[in-house]
Amino acid sequence: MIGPFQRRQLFVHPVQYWFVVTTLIYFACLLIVLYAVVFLPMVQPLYDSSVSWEQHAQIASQFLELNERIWPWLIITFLVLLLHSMYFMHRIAGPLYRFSTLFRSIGTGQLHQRARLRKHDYLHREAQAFNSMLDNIENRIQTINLHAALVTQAYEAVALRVQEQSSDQVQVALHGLEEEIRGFKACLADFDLPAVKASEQQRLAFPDAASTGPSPKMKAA
Amino acid sequence: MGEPLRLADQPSPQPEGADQSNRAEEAARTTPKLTVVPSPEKDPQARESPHYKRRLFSVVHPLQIRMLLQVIAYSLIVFVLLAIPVFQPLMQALDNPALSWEERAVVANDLLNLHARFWPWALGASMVVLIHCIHSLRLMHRVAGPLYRLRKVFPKIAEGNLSVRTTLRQHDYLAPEVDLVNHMTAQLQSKINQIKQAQVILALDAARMKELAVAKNDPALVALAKQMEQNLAAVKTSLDGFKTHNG
Repeated sequence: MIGPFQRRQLFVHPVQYWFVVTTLIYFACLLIVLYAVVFLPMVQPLYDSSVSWEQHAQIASQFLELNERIWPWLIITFLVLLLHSMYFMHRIAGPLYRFSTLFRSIGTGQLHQRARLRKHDYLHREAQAFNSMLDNIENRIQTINLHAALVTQAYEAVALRVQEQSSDQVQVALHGLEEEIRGFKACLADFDLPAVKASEQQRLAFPDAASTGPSPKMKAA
Repeated sequence: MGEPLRLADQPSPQPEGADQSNRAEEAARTTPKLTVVPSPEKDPQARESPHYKRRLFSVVHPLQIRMLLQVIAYSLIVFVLLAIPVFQPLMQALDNPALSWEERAVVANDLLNLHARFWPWALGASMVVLIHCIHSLRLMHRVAGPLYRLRKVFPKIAEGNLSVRTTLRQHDYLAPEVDLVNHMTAQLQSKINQIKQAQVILALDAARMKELAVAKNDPALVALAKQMEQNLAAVKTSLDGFKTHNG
């Protein structure tokens, strides 16, 4: 939950349109009922020919006066409620918009990203569940990365040993193995993990890795 | 209620890059035993019953309560703000001591007439508000339901179950979001499947290397190959934490 995100776009999700349209329709219904019940009985005598013109004038001025009093209130109220309902839906649609963006990028392997919502947004529980899911997956992939590094290290030791003895048959097997390790690392490279964390983890896991040094073949890989 | 929205095509666990697929094919050719057979058993979640019933008034998300309160608050505001301009001038006139009793009688008569008209309207408007409340709850239920399902699915994915898919009721909103989640899970599943395939191939190559080392009778090389095997077993254990269609 952080503050600096600002609301930029008014409509970012179709749910907002639905909600605004629904609010507009229901308040229009309220206004129609109001007009039918309060104003129509008032103007009916105007169509009555038996009523004198003085009474006509009095009714008309009463009608105009009531209109003058009510409509500014109504319009202001209507606008305020409309704006508030749009703001309400924006607090739902904004997080949904962010989630959609994240779902796309997480699928491509960018596991370092997290859902960060604005302070007054709704759906914080969903964001928390999503972030917790990402933490978990990221940890699992980090573990696989760690084991992959251990395999690479073991391979390097084997490679050094084989190079010392120079056996053709083992050299060929080693070459195949190197290809497979390269492919395995390429698969893992699809996941974009935080670089700092990964390097720290590797440093903690292999304090003597720098001293051993990778084989020339692995450097090429 | 019709068919739930479900991801139409389960992505096959094929490697994405052409070079990777070539490499896998080449490796499969060199080591004929290496075939990753997809498991016929699918996850029970993926085979979930398609008949989801919408419970009209079940509250599964705080948004529903907020929405209901908001509609009621809006309606109350409209009632009060309407009553003020309609009744206040007449009430003020009644309290005005400068007016004669005949004039006050006329004002009182107007006030009573207005009351007689306003309150039936208020009753009719209350019905509109009630319908609005029910309809808003229904609309919000279409948002809250998918959110509830997503919140239940995320922990399953976090546990490594990448074969799980989210399904929706027919008229639910957030279908694009749910489709994106299903697509994301399918993409992750595909990547993990690639890693699993690579791990299987690597394990077999390591086993072959160990056999050669044994044949060459080099204890140091055998020990190193064994160490590599152990590390690969650890990779396998990590990968087994992800549940995919391929096991």
